[in-house]
Amino acid sequence: MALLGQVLASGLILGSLYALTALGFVIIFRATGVINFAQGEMMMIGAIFALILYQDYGLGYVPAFVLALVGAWLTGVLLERVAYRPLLNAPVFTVILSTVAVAQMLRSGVRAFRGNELSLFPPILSTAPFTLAGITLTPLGVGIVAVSLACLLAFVAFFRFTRIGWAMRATAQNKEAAALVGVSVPQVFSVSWGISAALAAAAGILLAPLIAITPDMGAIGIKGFIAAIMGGYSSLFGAVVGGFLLGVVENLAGVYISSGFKDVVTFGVLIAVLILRPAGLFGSAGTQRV
Amino acid sequence: MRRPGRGWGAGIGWLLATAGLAALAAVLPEYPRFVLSLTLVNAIAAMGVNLSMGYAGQVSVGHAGFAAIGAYTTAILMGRLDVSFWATLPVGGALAILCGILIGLPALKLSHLYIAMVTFGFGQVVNLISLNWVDLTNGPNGLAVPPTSLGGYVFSPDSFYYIIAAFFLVLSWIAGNIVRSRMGRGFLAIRDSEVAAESMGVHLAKYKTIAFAVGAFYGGMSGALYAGLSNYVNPDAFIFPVSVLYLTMNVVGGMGTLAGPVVGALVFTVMPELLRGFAEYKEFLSGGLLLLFLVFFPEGLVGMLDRLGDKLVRSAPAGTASATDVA
Repeated sequence: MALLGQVLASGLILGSLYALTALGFVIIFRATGVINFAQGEMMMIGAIFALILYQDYGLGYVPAFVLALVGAWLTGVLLERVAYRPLLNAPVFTVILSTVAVAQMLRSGVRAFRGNELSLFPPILSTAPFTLAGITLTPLGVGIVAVSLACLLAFVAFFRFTRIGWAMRATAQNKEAAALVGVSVPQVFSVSWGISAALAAAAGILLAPLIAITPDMGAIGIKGFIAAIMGGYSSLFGAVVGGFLLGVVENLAGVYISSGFKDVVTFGVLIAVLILRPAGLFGSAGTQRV
Repeated sequence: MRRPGRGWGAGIGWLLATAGLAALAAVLPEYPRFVLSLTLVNAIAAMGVNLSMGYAGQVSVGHAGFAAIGAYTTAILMGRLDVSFWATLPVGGALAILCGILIGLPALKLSHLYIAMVTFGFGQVVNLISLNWVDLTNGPNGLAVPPTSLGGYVFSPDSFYYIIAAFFLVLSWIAGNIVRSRMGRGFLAIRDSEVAAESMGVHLAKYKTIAFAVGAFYGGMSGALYAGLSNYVNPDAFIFPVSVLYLTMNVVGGMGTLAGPVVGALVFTVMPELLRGFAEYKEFLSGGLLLLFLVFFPEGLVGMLDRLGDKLVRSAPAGTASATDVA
């Protein structure tokens, strides 16, 4: 039983990061109908920004974190302008291919710039374990969950209480109607890519002390994607639940099946969800426009 | 796009292509010939993507998975069970088709976006299995593939070119025929509008399943030939960027045209060889080219040449108007 509790606790730590990434996927999907294959690369970019600011420029952790988020936001906005907006009238899968191209360029660009160098983000909080109700935790792990939750809440507040948040919700429901009542749809797209990049970057920075920063660390962004699908892909709440759920499922599979096959289980879950319940846990089945 | 004709013209075209591939073999030294073999292997996989995606509109971002199925089937049957290449090839093709049909099943009720996810997930699962099922696949170390023989003659990687060229010609010929048949017209109808296609009597479930199966078959054949050519398979040869490369070949060459994937495969197999000194920028460059073509030249190289040709012969009396095949 203690083992199960332990597995659940570590699942929630990873899960909180998946939730942030999944939320980024869903924000873009709701606004533009595109699956962003470069989401994981935005995690990587965010982590590298933070590392450079923290290590090379000697900023404190909090300013480095915030500036890295701003940097990621700007990168997201820039990419939207350069790579996605010109394709506004193209078929959706052209835009998806465009995100694939952007992902490859970011990955290989960073590799050309930094090499395959492994960098470890110095842990901000202590990794000395303590025990709570029979479950071993580290301050770092607890901190990750806390900051993730704070980011999630900040996003919810933004979405609920700001003008641009309303505009985003209106656009997700009906682009034409939103434009008619004065919402600037291009601005909403721009903000959506920006926020999504910032959320991914937050996840990347929080993840950085746990795994090495490499050009390929974005591969873990796939997990956010799967979490988003489990949650229903169009539901923000679903994305968050899906993220936590996936973190737990993955850890359970790692302990009770085999650590090598835990990713196979993850993808198995993905394909099973898509076949059995394509709308996910909280999504609404899309109707097809003729 | 002008459709390749039937009858004498087409026959002469195929003869020329055969003669051209044979002549190239005679002139090219060993290494360029290997690069040409690789080009043809890549072209076969890219043709598979083109049939599923360019013609039938079924997005595939996991085609390297099908290639891996073909390659590992060949490696395991030949290396471990001493089966001959000629017997493993159909098995690899059949397994790829089976996977294609299984992957196609959810596609029957899902939209494009979900198909992108399913095919992506499939590619990842195959790669993860090849990495982790060490007993079967020898994990990251890969498997050696014994040389192929035919009637006592043992093929070297150099002479294996002829096998690849033969399969390339046959598979291109089949692709051309599929595209021009009732099936190909059904594919195009589905790609342009599923609702319209269905209302005109195209059996959606059947045609989509066939589209996946055919695309997967080409992927599997490409993988099997790759295993025979390189005498070695490992998981690195079938990672996600490889699936992206097949897509890039189509976009840059011209998706939804018969020559597109071949031109794209030529560009993206030969280019890295020419740009050896810039190996670290290879992926950046191919990503950049993909983006550039998506945004500015969505009809690809073949489409551009076609349009240029049309301009040159515009004075000639116009034939039947044909829709451009740009996806």
